[in-house]
Amino acid sequence: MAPHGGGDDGGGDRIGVEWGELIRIYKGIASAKMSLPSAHNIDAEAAATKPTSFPVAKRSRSPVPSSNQVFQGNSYSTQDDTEREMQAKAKRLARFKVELRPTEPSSSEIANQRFSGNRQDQAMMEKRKYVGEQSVEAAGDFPNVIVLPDSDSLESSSIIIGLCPDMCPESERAERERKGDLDQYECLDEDRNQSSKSLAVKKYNKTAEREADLIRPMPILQKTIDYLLDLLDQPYDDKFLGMYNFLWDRMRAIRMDLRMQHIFNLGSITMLEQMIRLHVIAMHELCEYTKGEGFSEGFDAHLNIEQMNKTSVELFQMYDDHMKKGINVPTEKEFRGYYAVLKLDKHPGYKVEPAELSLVLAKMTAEIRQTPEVLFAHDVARACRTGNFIAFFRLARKASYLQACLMHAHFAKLRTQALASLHCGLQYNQGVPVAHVAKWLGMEEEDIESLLECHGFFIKDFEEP
Amino acid sequence: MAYLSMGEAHRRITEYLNRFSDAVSSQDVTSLKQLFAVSSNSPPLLSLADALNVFQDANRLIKQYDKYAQFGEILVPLLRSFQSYRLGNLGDSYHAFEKSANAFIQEFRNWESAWALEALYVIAFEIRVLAERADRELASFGKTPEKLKGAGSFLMKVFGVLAGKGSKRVGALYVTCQLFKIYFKLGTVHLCRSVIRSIETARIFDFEEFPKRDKVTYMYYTGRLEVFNENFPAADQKLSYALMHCNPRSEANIRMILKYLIPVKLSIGILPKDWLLDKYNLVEYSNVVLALKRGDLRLLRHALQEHEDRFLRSGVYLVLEKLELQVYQRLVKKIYIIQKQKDPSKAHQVKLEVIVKALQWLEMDMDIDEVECIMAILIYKNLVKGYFAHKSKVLVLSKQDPFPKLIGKPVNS
Repeated sequence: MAPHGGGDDGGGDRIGVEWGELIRIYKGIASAKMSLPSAHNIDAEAAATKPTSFPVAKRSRSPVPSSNQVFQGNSYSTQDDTEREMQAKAKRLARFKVELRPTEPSSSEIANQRFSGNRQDQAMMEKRKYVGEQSVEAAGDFPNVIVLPDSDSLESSSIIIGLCPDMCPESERAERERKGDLDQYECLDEDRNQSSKSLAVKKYNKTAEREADLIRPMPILQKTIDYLLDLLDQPYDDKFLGMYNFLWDRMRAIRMDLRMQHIFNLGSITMLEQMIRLHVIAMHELCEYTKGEGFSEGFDAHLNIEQMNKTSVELFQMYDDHMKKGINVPTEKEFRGYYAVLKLDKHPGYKVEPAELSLVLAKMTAEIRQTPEVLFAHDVARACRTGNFIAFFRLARKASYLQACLMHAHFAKLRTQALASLHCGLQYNQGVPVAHVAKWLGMEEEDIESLLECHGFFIKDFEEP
Repeated sequence: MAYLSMGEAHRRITEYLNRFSDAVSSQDVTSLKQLFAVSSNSPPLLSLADALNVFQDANRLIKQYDKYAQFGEILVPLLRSFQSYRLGNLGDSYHAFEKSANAFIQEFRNWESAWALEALYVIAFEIRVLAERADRELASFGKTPEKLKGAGSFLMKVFGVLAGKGSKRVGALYVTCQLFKIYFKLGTVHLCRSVIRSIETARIFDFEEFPKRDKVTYMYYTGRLEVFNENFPAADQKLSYALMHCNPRSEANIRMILKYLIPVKLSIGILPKDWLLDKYNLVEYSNVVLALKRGDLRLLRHALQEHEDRFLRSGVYLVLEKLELQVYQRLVKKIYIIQKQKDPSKAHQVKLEVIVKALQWLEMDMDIDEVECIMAILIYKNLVKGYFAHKSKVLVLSKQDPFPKLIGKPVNS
């Protein structure tokens, strides 16, 4: 853009030093003739009165990623800059690995039961240990009752104890091998009909089988989830989608096995927490994908959120039960915080009633509500609901990676409203430096200019005298 | 406990059974309905329950005589319900009562006229109350409460029986209100939707036909739902209807309506007078109102925090939080008024710095960028008319009507 002496912008702007070599945005009305870089032909006239719903799927614009670092150089940009993208992804992977590991071995009693040696004997021993542990937990205050999170299991008195010694029941593995119904991560040497004990993982099945041989006991489940999470250590790029679909399904099966055996202890809590973390990360990392045709293709954002919702509800029930027994789980506030950010407003494709956040907060104890994680979520909600983009994006910079993933879903909405407000509030031919706006909206590394033009602004270059 | 003889027990039970069959045969609903009020703890019913626990074989008695036996399906579980209730077995009591109620509905269906409607009301009420108490009992044993959910299903069935042509349909609103109470208690308010649709859009009912008391209750609950969904004009309309038609002497009910109506009115710019808050003991709103009058953001946030629990539970917290924008508007207006007094010609130009300073005095730490952002939002939402100049950091207000009143329309989102 050609430099311009600042003569025609309404006087008094040879004020200098603070502007530096910035570019200004100007409000214009003749921009109906503007050819926009993207295919959006929003008439600026219309934009001046009400910025229209913005077809730009700006969720592809990346959020502010990591917590402690100053913004520059860390964002993942558009397709052009693959090198930067890879660096950023590597950074994310490092954080991602950290996030997914439990911070402390909260299920130490499980950790001791490392699976090794003779499978049969080990399984028997583990089973006995597990049963012992289960009755200790239950014996507490309520002699013969174990609290169930969902009330649809009528046979509350019969608890199944799993006997399956592998990650996947032998019969299932054989059948799926025969039918070629193996996921890419389960195939031995890329043979669609060959798997192995160390690769096959039990698939999710809607109909709950009650046969003990098909259900995995706690130590096996522990081994399974560790194995699944280890898969994330591989370098991944566009492979993540396939891996996510595999992980999510297999984790759902783990959840089912836990439920069937009525395992609601700290080990179970940790597993559910890992699952939720995965869903949060997927929500952001896969936001550019659309829902595919088949079950395992594409990314169904709505289903992902729904699963996160269901898992959270189960998890909170377990937190409550532990609280009743006087056991305080230190990660509770973290996950209550995530849930609050999830529920603060609707997501594309996932409806949230306005009052849900109120109910979510009401269900927490006053103590949890005052924890930094939940206060953070509350601040985010307030900023979001009043449209305070400055506060919102400042919070985004402070957020942890997972919190930022959750906030990401609301970026587009906040940015749209921000630009609409600025458009409303700026007088014709008055401007704001683009760099300022970019900072306010967390878009320093992004192509903000086309977004601005979309909203009815045009951009003018100024060279300092 | 005083000694109760077998003979006396027998007499009491027989008396109850006679009253029952007489009431039905003479279609005397006033007598009949009292005989179902398990949870009422009325003396005659308590004495009946004592008698049952002594006599222990009421079933044989019922089957002995035709005039009782024809209602056996109703009476046998009903008496068991009384018995269990007296012994404090609330789960059993509920279970038996539901069985009895089921049988009653079958009979009720066959009766041509709606003579027994008031008895049905009592049954619907008891179903809910007994279920609530049974659930409390379950929870105390660490079990999952699920009786109230069952009561909801049962009442849906009752609703179905009443929805149709004929004089019985005026009872539907009462049952609906019981359902609302259940759904609100369970937190499954989305289930209200289907029943509302039946009442409002299906051609079966004429809303004006229903008894006034039920209409008020109905509007109260649907008004609350509108508050949940942040449809403030609709909420205003419904809750105001409830308020207007509510019994003026029923202070508790008025208070309940006001509890929700006040945040709604605040959102559309209408403030309650102090005496109203005092009279109905809604002083938790006092500081909110004061904050709005003063433009005092700190006071608003403080008021919300002080009554956080209460506001969250009633679901109005977020509605009140949104009042922040109106508080900002008020603050800017005050600054404008002060400036006008000093120098009318320059009053419409408000330096953003001044606003920053005012907020700092209120211990609100906002920098000039954030203040500019808020001003942009106020302009966008039509709470302020004007524009801001970024480089001179000034808010320039329109010379005409710079602070438009909300006039009954909520701040548009």
